[in-house]
Amino acid sequence: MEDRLCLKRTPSLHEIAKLSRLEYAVAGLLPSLPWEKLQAIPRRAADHHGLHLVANFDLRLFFPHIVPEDNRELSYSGIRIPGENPSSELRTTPRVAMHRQSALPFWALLFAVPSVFSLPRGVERSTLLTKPSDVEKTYDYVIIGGGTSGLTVADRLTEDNRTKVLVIEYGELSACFFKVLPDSVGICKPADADPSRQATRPTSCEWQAALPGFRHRSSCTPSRPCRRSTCETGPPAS
Amino acid sequence: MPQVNLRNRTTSVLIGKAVGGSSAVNMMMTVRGTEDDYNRWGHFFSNSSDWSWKGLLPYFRKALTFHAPDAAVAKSVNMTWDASYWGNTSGVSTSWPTYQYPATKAVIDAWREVPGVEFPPDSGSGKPGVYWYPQFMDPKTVTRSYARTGHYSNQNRPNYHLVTGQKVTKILFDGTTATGVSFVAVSALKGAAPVTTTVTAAKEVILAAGGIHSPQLLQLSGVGPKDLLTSAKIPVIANLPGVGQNFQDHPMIQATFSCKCRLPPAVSP
Repeated sequence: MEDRLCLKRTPSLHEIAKLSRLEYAVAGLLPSLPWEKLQAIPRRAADHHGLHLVANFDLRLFFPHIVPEDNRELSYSGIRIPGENPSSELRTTPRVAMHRQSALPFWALLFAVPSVFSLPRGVERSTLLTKPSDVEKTYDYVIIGGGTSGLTVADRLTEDNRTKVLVIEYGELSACFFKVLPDSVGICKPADADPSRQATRPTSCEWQAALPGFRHRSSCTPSRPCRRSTCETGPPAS
Repeated sequence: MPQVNLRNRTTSVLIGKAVGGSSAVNMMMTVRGTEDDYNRWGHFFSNSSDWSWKGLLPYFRKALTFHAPDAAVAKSVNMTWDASYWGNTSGVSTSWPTYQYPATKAVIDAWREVPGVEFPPDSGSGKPGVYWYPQFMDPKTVTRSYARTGHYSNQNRPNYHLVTGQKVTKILFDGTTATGVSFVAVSALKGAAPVTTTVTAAKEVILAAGGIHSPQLLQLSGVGPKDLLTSAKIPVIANLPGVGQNFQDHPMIQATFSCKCRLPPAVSP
């Protein structure tokens, strides 16, 4: 995943293609339905027809240098058609309004991704809502706070698919706020190691072998592409 | 608020404003409190309360999937652990770095010379002392493992809705029963008249807004010390003097020191 985290410049088509073969693949960026049409499907109707709006996911997770117009327009969405094989399950369509300064031309994604169709792991697939008007009138359980305990409880309760649960969260699915690598984790893995190899397999536990991993990681401090208005930039001054 | 026992110093309390809450921003250290701490909590309720070490341990196990450290790494610094304190069914992982500074071994050996210092078998054993602790980390991707990745990202449930960017302003009551919640979009908060949305809970409202905002929201909703609520012109639903009081956080002390001797890695970067 280091590749994903370390992009600080425009990725080449080759790099995008490489990224999309990782398990965080930017799957299904191939648009099959215009976003307007997708939006026009009311949720209940969608449920009735067996279509599920899949969750938006945060593009910054994949391309942290992309600067969106605002937080909300950052995500990709799509529909999932249950019962079909995974290759046709996720069809997404962009709802991204990128800045002119955005380093990544959108066509590059389209060009690079058709080889990848599988539903990516690590991408939110339960229903993510960003507008109050999308929230239904009544749920079985309403959970205030999508944090450590709230999400755990929501996970347990929704194991029963008859139980409808809403979690209300103040924050966002934000990449700029969470630090994905801890300070104290060393990675015995050269920067250019085969991504299919598990990082748990150190090449060696000698310092010299670990050093490239540290150096590599030290350049991985997540960039902060988000605007101040949409993300925290650090702890408040005391 | 000035802390009397800190010579009236004030400190910031950091909380995670993101899906995943503070599990998205913590230091990724997987460390439990001690047995004594949890038993003290339990005794606030009764001598046989389940909020005790014994009562909580099954849930600690359930909360995390434990991955043992790489054998070669473990051997390189004599790491010790005891998997019996851990579980393997959770979507949230705790695992180990694939490199340990060799000097760590020397530091631990030095602790062994200090009288009275215990060496518990595991960071999750409930005993204070010197121990190795794992990290909230997915061992495969070497990235943070937390409430979002473990309890949201990998679910595919149309009955599981999450709405983000919304501030809950009030818990709604019918008598003394919570029946719903009202909230406003964070993006609309600075506007003149933010639109309030309400949602009804057929079964329960679950307050999981953290150690800071849970009591705050209770107070705003009319549950808290009567005098305080009255002074803020909040109608009292329930007079509970303890709500919003006695906040405790765990202190952390770090010691930094220089070694006179030359420790590995003795390589200039």
